[in-house]
Amino acid sequence: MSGQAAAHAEAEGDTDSTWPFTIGLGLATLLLGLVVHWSILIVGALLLGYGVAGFLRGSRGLRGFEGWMLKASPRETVLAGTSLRKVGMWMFLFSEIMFFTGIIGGSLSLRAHTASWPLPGAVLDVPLTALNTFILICSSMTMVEALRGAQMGDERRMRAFLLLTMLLGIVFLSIQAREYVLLFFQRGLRPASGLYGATFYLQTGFHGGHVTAGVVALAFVNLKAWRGGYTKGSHEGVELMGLYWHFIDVVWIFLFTIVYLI
Amino acid sequence: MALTDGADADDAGRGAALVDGRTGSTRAATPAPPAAQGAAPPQASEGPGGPGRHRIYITVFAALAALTVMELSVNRLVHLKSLQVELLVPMMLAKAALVVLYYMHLRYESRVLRWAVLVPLAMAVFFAIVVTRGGG
Repeated sequence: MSGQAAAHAEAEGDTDSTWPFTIGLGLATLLLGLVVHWSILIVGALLLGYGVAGFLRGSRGLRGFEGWMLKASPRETVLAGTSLRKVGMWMFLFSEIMFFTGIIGGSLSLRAHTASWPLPGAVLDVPLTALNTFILICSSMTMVEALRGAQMGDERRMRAFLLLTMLLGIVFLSIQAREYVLLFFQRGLRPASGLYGATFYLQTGFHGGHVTAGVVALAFVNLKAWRGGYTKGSHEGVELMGLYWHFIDVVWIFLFTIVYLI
Repeated sequence: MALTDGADADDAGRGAALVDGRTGSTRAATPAPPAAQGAAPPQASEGPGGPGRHRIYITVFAALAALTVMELSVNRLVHLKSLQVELLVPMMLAKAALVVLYYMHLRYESRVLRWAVLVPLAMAVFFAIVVTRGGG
């Protein structure tokens, strides 16, 4: 199917190219083959080779692709009407989904093959973390209200909610830091003290790192908002910040259930 | 997929209050030509900042808080591990879906972007299952 489309694209000149898509599909099949079966691996390798060959031969190589990317107006692409910056943010979030899937899936796998695994309540402070979960949900709420303020043209409202979002993020991190200190020094749960400790710090640590990055990004967004950088007509930065922030919330929804409750 | 189909039907039903930026013809359930969708940028509408949206945000927030309390009580009251998992996982997925659909506005995005998000998500879940089951 991609061959047909690609031939069509070549005939049309430089309007479109599906070879990058073929390459991506080939790579994904190849990786799938690595974990499932060697026959899928061969199919993936063939598809990848076919895609790379077609890319180099048909669409004038990397420079041709680059030219197409620069020339293509949003209306000509399949995602017509969606801003390219927003598509870019979603692309970044896909890579984040894969990243956290690997970490959480790997931890679950280790857990499934370990004979004795402590109940979360026996080691962790579940009520305190439930409060923390609630704080993070609140911060998602304030983030979306900040965006609404920007959309309504109410800049005071937007600034107030952006500040509140950042503060809630800091509160979340403070509570987690306190939890870490308690677990590490008083209960002796350390990354090196076994699979339970290792997977716990791996999962919550990478999430906490992402929250920290989000708070830093929010500081920049707050600064720009205070300087009047976002208006009713131009506030995409707030929306993209929100996408990242909500994604961090979604990751925590998964982690809270998997690490603290099950 | 059930989620997106339901959203489509809902979109068509609720009409102007939520997505009045798009014209009636492009909002129909049939896939609109890209040029027609691009003609009405969602940013230009009053919809995203309207009072209807505000109510939805509050409702979603209440649902998320209620689900968290329910999760906590399941954790406290149900001691059978398998039953716990069967109760907690759907609640976890519901919470994640609420945030992605309403707070990340996926429900209001174009059909192509919705699929572009859902397909890799399904792949991620598939990979996670493969990784978890593997080596056993």
